Amino acid sequence: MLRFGLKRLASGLLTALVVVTATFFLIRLVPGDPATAMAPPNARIEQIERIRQNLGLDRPLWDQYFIYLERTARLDFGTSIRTGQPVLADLIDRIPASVELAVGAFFLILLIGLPIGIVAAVRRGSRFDYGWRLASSIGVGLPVFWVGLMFLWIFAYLIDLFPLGGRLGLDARLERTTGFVVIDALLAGRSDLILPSLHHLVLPAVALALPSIAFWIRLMRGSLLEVMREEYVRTARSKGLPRRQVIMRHGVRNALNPVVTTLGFEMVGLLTGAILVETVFAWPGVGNYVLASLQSRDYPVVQGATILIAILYVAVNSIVDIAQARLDPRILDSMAVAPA
Amino acid sequence: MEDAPDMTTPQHEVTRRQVLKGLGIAGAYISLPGLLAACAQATPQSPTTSAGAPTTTPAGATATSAAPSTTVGDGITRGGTFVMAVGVDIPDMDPHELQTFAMLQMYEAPSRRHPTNYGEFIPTLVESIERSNDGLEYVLNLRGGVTYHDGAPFNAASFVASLQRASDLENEYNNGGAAWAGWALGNPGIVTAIEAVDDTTVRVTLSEPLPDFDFWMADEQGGWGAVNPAVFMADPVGFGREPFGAGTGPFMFEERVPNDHVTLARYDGYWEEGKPYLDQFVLRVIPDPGTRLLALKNGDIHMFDVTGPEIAQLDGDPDVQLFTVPPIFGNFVAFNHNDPITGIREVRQAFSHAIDLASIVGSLTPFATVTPNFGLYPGMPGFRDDISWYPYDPEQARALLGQAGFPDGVDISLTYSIAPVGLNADTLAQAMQAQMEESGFRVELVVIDGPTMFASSFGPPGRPDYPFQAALTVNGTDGNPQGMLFSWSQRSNYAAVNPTFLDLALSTNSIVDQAQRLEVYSQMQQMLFDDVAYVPLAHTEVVRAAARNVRGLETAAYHFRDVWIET
Repeated sequence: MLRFGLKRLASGLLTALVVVTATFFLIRLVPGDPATAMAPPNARIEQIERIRQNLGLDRPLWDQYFIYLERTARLDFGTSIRTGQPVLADLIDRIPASVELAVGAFFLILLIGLPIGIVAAVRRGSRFDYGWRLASSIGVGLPVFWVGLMFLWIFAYLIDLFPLGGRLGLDARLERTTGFVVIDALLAGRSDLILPSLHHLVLPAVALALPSIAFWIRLMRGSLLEVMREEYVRTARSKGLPRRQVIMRHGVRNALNPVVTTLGFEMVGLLTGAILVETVFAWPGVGNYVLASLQSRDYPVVQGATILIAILYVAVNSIVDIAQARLDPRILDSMAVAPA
Repeated sequence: MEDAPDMTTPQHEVTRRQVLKGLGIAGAYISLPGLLAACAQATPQSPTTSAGAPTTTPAGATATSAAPSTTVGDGITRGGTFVMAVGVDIPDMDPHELQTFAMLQMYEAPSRRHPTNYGEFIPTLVESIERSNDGLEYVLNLRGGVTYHDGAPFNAASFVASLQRASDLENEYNNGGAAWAGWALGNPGIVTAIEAVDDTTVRVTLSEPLPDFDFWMADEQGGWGAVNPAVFMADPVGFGREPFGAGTGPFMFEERVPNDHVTLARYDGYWEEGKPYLDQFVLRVIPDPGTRLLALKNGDIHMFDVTGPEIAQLDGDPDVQLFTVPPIFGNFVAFNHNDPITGIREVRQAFSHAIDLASIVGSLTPFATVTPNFGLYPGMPGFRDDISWYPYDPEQARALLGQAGFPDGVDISLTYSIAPVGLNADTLAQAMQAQMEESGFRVELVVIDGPTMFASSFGPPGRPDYPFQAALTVNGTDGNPQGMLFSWSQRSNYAAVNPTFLDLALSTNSIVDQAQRLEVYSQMQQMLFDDVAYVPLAHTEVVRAAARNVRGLETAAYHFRDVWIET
């Protein structure tokens, strides 16, 4: 197991290196001089030269590459052209909001998507099954920005049930400590802000989770149906075990294996794929920031965010592989018998 | 946004570009007026209201309004918390670093733009400004009783420190950022001295006259905004994130939640008694225009700048007032004058005759006006209202194409980007494409991104190249005719093929005599017309949507000291 873990770690590091290298060279294929782009339009030549030196652009390409690797290893992505702040600081500023949103959506997926998928599989062919299959087909196909705007229009504007964007009301003053509203509220002894923050979270989290919920209903249903056809399930039934026990202990438990491994990627997807939801709901997260940076060609941010997202995926991929190997020893076995 | 305001002199050009780049970069978080000064009588000067008479107050508009706080002689109580939505975060409030709408409320320059009249300035931090006859020396007599938001007195020494920080790259407190002080940086060597004569007098000396210096001195965000030295000396680079005590303006910094909102509070020590009326001025970040619209209708915000189809959705809403404020943004077509097709005058003239702008513009927005001539906009000093542009005439267009050697029509590419100001470029380009076909133009539309368009749109005066065969683009002006006319030597390679125009453009930088200047402006406009150097399309001021219960907006193109919320 240790050997497997180390191999996965090495493979992950190699993948990260490839991504980081590709990002370095691709960004240099973009026409234009980064130093000039970062300088104010009326910058004097000395200013541009100073920026060029700071970026290491006056050195040979390979030197630049190694400087870049060294900075990347320190998570130093440079300074945002648009905000004038270090990219990492900007990202850290916004990551808590994105994590809050992703976690909220994730819980909705777990609480809604998986149980419905299970019930749909158990009641295969019923109205419930057909109804949810239809609903999930629609849910997968709905554009998230449209869903978001509809939610705002119906639930925030027409029936005024939820706030219209943001994480808290404008008059809610909360000292930032961690950036997570709930935690900061607890730290500041402002428990009165916890419910409002959750209130603000509901609509964007539902909008973000909706396409995924639809997907997970279908995935869970399919996985459970497949497992229920397995011989050991039939054996359990023939032994006269209660139906509920057969489904939950032998069916769902085994059906969850492939589902759980995919959930890791879902979490990363929710973290990095919320650009449109964050935009529509004025949610001050990373997606919102990256979109604005893309629109203004803020290369350091684009580069930094790309690398971070890639590393996140690589890390999750490695963790999932290791977890899978631990859950399913056959994976380790297959490695052991693999030709040298 | 790709490109914009054209108030450039050769030296200033880069500064304006910088301003515009800031706009392009910052998009909606800077409210466009921030860059512009004003000039001349205006076109639709007072707010043009399109909806009906005031009716009910939007349901939630009062929800964010604090208790009214100021009762003046007329017995009306004024106050409230005003929330304006902007599209992008406000990461920094150092006026020497970035431009945002917040800065216009927090910082003050010697004078400020008149809210409606282009080219008029209202003394702010000065009682008066004296200019020497040769235009080389400006003496600023500072207003007494002005204090920074931390209570420190505003005086000549502090103002000079602020000006030097902004204008001198070698100054130890210069933030090394965008450095908006184009009047100095864009004119290396022209500003030779900034000095405190006594406690209330500042003298600025130039090596040669700058005809639009008045415009610069009214730019709170262009280096002339006074920043409290105690604040920037404590943290030269970072104070803008939480600029407590930094300005002298009617509103002071209170809170910034990154990517969410900035709250400014009324400065009770403000020198103008009774002002501002509002208790709080909040800029809330809402990136999506559809969400901004819902937020306005829901009463969560009181105002936002409208740039797209939201105009049609809000027009006629009894709870919303739509109106326009300076500056002007105009769409026009620029050509490559060395291109084998668009380099031919008859082709450009045919291009003009091929477009029925009245029908296109009328269907796009009720606020835009077909630009009747080119070079300046109506209302600006020196505008030639005796020149009428080439009218819509498809037959004449075909005949001209024939004369140019294209009797069977001609293929032409029209490049554009989607700018957040001016008319909707997509709709405009498609409408033009359809109409021009009738006259023999087979137009290929090429869409590029805003920053590329912005970078390509400006060049040095008399630039030899222009990367597009024809480009649909946009400019903006605060009403400074000199800058605007000069910019036509930079917005394409027209001035390279007409050196006389370039000479005239360059001459405007040093002519301080008004009559002489107007004569040159007249000649330049005649050349632009005769050569069909560009094709003017339509222009509009910034269109804003506000809740009905907001009062005083007619004074609030840039500054909100006279705005209040009626409860």
